[in-house]
Amino acid sequence: MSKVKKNKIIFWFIILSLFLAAPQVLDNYFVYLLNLFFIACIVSVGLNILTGFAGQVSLGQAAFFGIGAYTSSLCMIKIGFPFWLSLPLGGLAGAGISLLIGLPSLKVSGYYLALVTLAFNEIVNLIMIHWKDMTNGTDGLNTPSPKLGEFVFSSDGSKYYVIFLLALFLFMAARNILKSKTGRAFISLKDSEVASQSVGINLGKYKIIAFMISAFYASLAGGLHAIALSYIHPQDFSLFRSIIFLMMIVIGGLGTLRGPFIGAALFTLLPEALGKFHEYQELIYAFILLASIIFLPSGLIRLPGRLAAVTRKV
Amino acid sequence: MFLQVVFSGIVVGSIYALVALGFILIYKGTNIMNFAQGEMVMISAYFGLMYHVYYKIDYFTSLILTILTAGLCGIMLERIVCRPLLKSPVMSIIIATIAVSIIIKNIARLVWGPIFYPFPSAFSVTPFHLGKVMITPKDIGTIVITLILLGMLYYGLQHTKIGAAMLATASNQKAASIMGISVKRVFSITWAISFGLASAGGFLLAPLVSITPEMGDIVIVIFTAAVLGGLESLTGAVVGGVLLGIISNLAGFYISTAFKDVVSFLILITILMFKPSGLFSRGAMRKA
Repeated sequence: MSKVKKNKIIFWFIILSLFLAAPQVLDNYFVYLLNLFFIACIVSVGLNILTGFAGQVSLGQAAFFGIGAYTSSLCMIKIGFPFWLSLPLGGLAGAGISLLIGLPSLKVSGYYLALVTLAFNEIVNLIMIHWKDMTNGTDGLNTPSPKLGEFVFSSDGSKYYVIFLLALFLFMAARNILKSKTGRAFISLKDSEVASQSVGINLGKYKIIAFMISAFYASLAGGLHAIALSYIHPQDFSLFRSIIFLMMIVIGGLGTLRGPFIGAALFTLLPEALGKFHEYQELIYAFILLASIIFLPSGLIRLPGRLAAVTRKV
Repeated sequence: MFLQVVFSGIVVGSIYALVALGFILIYKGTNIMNFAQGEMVMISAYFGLMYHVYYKIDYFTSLILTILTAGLCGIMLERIVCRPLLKSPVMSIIIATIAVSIIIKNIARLVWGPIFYPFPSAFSVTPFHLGKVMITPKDIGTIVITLILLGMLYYGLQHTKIGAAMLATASNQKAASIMGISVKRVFSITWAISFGLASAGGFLLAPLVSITPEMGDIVIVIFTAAVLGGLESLTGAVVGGVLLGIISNLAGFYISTAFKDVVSFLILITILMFKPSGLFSRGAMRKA
């Protein structure tokens, strides 16, 4: 084993143990924020596969987030399934429904696809609001905490381990997918659909796979969101939330492995940092987004590189 | 009753048509899908409110002032946001215009708050009967103003130099610039006209609904109207707008008012899934 590789392993080991120890040392509120951060990371890592790597725009990620949250909560409340079964069911529900919305992507892309996913998000949101018998409408749903035998995961600290471990697993999976044949197919698809087809890549198949993966990630994150907050409300899954997810990956750095984490951290911490200026939150988000699109189109992750280039020139 | 519902559908639909037309102008002319078009309708309604109700300027002068203000906004937006992004991928443009729409909406929220402002119409609302249909002068006024604006736009595009330059740029930017047309200037004019149309829509829509910052949600209706018409043709946008006005009015009346919103989304998804080139086109659509 080379020295570099050894150092790398030690580095990641330290990071991992820091994260595992976090709930023991940190304040409850910070643990709660970390939970939200990891949930946002899961969605944005999934969305990054679809948008950043496979090049398909989606304005409907909050709908899948919501489908996961409602499916897993309702499985627990109405049927009495344990959380450990409800969560994957929520993920599968999202992935299943994404087939429906992935199908138009075979025919359309770019602007058209943005419109389809946007309309899809709005329809799902309206169903959440109006199907009162099932979703309890705008009163929201109280999600029970997961249980393992006698132990109830009711504190933020205990939920943290569930969320963190699943997130870690999903990040590794995403990384492996992107390094596999499938991941390479995604990237070539983004660069040129015609060229990919000419080397025998089945466009339709890989577009649908990308859609399903991102929907699966978003839905699982939705299930985790439901237990992290113990409460879900249709407003959590509005179009604006979809836009925030998109903001995360764009500001972080589209099509990079680590960009989504930066974006997720930024958008989890910003609302807290704004505090009193809460009513300006959306406005500030939008200005940040606009500025970053115009001045830093490749995302925050490239900021150090850009700065270095500028200083070298000077 | 059916005819009555259809008629009021046409009245609303003519407003949709105006705004959808502006939307298509930008899309065809500059290749940018402007997600902020709905917010422009909303903020223009506030401009109208400012001119007509606060400064007590008469109805038609306020309408013209509103259109001019919005046109100026269009030019500014094109300069600040869209010109730097001309060569960017579709994704960046979508996000940038969404950011603009959020900014406009929040400015409206901060300035005017969540209050409903009623907006008076210049025309009386005392109805008269035409067969079984009740018609108010307000309805007639809305349709007539729409027709006048459409006529002006048609004349401008077909019979003026600027119109010819716009059409030329829309069909081939490179060729147009070789022929000595300043493409940048055409873009500015296109945005100005498009926002002018949106603002006229907002001004006419304001008396029908009350003005709130949420009025910009009309953008979905605009998308649907434009997609119905095929996203490529100006006539299509007008027909799509009127058609959508009628359909959503019928759905609202015969099914339920909650269904009025859903129907628009459903049409949007269905058309994009099965006939993305729109209802009326025979040719192939442009991808992306």
